[in-house]
Amino acid sequence: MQLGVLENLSFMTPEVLLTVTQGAVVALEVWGPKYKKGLVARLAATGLGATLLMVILTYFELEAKQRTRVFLFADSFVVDPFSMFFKLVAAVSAFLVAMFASKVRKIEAQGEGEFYSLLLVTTLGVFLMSGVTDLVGLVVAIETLSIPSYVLSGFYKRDRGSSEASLKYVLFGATASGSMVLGMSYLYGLAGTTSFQGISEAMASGRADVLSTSLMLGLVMIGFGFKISAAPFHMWTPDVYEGSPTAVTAYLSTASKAGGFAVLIRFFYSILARPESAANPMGPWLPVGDPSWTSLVAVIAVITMTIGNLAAYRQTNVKRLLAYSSIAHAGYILLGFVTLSGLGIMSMLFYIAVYVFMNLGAFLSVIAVTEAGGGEELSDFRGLGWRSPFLGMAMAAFLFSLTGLPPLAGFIGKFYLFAALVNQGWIWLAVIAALNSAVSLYYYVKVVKTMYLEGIPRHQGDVVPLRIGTHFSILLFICLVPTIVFGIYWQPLQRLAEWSVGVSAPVEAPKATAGK
Amino acid sequence: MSHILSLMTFVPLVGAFIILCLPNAKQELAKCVAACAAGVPLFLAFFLWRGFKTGTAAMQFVEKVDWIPMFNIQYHMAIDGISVIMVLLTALISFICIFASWEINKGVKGYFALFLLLETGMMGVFCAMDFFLFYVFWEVMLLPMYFLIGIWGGPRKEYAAIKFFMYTLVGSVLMLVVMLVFYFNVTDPATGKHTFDLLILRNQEARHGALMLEGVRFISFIALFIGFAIKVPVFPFHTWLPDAHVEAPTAISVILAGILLKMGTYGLMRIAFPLLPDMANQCAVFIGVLGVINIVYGALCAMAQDDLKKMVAYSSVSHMGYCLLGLGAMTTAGFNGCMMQMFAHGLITAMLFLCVGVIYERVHHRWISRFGGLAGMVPVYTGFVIFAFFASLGLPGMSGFIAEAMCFIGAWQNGTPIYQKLTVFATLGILLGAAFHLWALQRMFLGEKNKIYTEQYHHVTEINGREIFCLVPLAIAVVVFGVFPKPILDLMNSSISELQAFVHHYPHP
Repeated sequence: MQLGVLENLSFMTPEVLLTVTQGAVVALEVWGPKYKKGLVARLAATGLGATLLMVILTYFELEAKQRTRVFLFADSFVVDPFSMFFKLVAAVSAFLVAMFASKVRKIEAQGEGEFYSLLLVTTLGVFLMSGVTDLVGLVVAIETLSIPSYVLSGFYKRDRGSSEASLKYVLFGATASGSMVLGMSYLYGLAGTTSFQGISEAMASGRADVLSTSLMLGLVMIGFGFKISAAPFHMWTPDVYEGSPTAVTAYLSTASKAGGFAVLIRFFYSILARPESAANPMGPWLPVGDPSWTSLVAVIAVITMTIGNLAAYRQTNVKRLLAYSSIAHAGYILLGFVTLSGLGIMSMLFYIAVYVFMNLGAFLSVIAVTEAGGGEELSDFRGLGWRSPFLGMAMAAFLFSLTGLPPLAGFIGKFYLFAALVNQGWIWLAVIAALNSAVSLYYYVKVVKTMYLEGIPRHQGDVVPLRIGTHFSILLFICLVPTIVFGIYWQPLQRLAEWSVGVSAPVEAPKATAGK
Repeated sequence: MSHILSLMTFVPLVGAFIILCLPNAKQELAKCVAACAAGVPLFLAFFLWRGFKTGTAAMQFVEKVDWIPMFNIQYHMAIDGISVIMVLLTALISFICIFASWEINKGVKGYFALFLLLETGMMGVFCAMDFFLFYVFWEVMLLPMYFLIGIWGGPRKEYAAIKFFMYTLVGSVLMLVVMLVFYFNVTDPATGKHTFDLLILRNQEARHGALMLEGVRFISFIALFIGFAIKVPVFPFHTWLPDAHVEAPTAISVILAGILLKMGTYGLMRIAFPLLPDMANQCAVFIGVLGVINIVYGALCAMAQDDLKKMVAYSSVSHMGYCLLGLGAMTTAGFNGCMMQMFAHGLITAMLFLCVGVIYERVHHRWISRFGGLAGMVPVYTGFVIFAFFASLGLPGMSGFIAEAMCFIGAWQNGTPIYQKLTVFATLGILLGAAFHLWALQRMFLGEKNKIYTEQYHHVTEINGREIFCLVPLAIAVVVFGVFPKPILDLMNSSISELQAFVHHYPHP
């Protein structure tokens, strides 16, 4: 039974809401009262908040129906717990970024309407990426995210760094997308269909030889690797992250990256893997066809985290340091991908959720410092722990969580990733990753050291306070709570992640579940 | 009293929160809250001692609550004879250290809050019987320690703090991987689930998969050993220790040497040995050799130091070597000696560092060669130093002697020629220990005043009441347990014997 367009849309309320908000933002910017600054920001934040609420409601609805999987638009889009998980992550990230950006003076001066409408479109892109099950849809979704991102990274028009970032991003992005589409065209040639399901069947039938499969998947991997900034496609990341407005950087490093992981997992796990038993998706998965791609991804993961961690050592700009750290984290998350198991996917989801809070928190701290009159250089953070105790403490917590120290959420995330590795026998990989995370301590602590241990700027004997205001304090607190709470009691998040594991399309009667 | 261990662990944490909520101006109040928060565990420690049943190796004061049922992680706190001694020591030393830090006046709130957080971590490590919980507490200690050294430390504090942090973290991430290997390859026979429970993980019959391979077990043991050896610290992983000790403020040096080092040997006895008994047997000689290297090398390094604090730091390296020798012996007497040395060294080294702190607070340096003839100026202080030095060099009648003697007996009892040679070599350490202690004593306190650095004598005042208050309980304990060690030996004996028998039961094929 094919659903009508309207019936299809009824499952996509969050997406519809995003689109409507985006239209309203544009309308308000064009026709709204010019003197009232901040109105657009509020509208956008409200829209994102409502979207977040809708996502949560849909999630509950799905849970009530027990793993329901709803296929829409001729099987090219699916609404399932897996996609809802990523929508949740993206909505939280976009909401927090929007709230933060609303107090950034430079964005206000440049034109809020453009910023928020672009932000909303990128969020829509991530939403679409989380649910696509079709090559054409995949390309459309990725470009929906990418093109506004290029504009956003160059949002500060008069700023050379920002413009450079935008240009770099476009050039790298276009190349990566091009390679990806080329790879996909080969896939279509092989399978004769664009749906993941069909391609998976073609792979299983053994029609493709190893060489052409590797070529195709390698080309596709370039596109995905670019999105998640995995080595060797990570070169753009430091420059773009450093040059872009910090709010955009925060967004790129969380929601955009999560979107990249969503398609990566969905694509590879629904085409090249299948749960050993359909009843237990948490168990090991079997490879479809040649399983050597896991080794390749393992190597990529190792290179990615090592490069990220080593390069972060010498950075003196906090944003650039965090950029390299986010490369390293892409490497960690890929570890779960290698394991070919439900536990692996679960650990990735768990890590992404936790990572969003701690990484956003770290970038938001940078924004708060900048807006309070500081800067983005490491030297601007000197004595911050004494000048603004709450900000210092929060930033330290985010950084230690990124390092993976208990009792913070980042540790639990790493714990599950390593657990998935050890469970599947990848012990050497777990050892390398564990040593990497120990090494990463050095540069995270460098920031903490600057904040607490180095000379405090004083004025006539008193510490010069740095006031970040209530708005930023509350938002930092919102990021801080999950960073700490999920380090002490993370069962709810684990349950959510575990329930969202099922990715691959069910073999039997895909449309039957779309019942009313 | 069923939650006594949780109370002892978490009351300091509550105290830390209260301190953070106090207004900045109320410094004295913050110190009083800290003293109360550290006093409660000491008070409870008394009941713990009274209530502890000797003569059984079973776990006591057990608290078991599901924490994360989906991964079968439990909040499992319990103590046996090995833990109870460390818990008592931690409660005592932490309480004393609050008073040793009374003169801190920079960032008072932060200091005491971090200190109490540290105490929570230390207590937790000694009480946790779930590997995951153990690991969390083990890591929780790192953060406060980093800040306590890094903010309140000496001139090279930043270097020392990060070095300590990095060394320990590298060791503990290896432990994390081993922990996961055990989790996935051990099934609880009762429930059929994987588990982190240390008491089940040691069950050799519950294992399968990778743990059946000798190579995996060997590498796991080495990884665990390195993780704990860094903390002990065992040569060649000891280089963080002199830096951290020298730069840390007095009270933190006391905690470092008095308790944190013991976590290394405690970890070996609680985790590495019972979980991998066959590998422990295989590596025993190796551990003994490292112990002797520690003893002799540490003593030689101590002798070469002109910085009094660095000398004391290296003496810790030397003294922890006795623990390793006792452990490597694989005999009950050796294990007992190791445990006794952990306790005795905790008391004695605390006294030593407190004494160093006393003179440093007055003249702001610790160069041995710049002193001379102090005995005539500060006789009471000199008395305490002589007492501490003699205790440290193992004078009969003090607890250090008992411990060292037991380690030697244990090593000799092993019976194989190599251990007898090791024991003979190790006795060299006693000689060297006496040498560097007495030499320092002579240069600093005896003879005439130093002619070149006379201006420094203006500041030397006699030891004050607060400092005496810190030293006296330790001194009493050193003498009491030196003359009459039975209460301590009774506490640990059953658990130690059980551990020895367990390890002995799985010889290396």
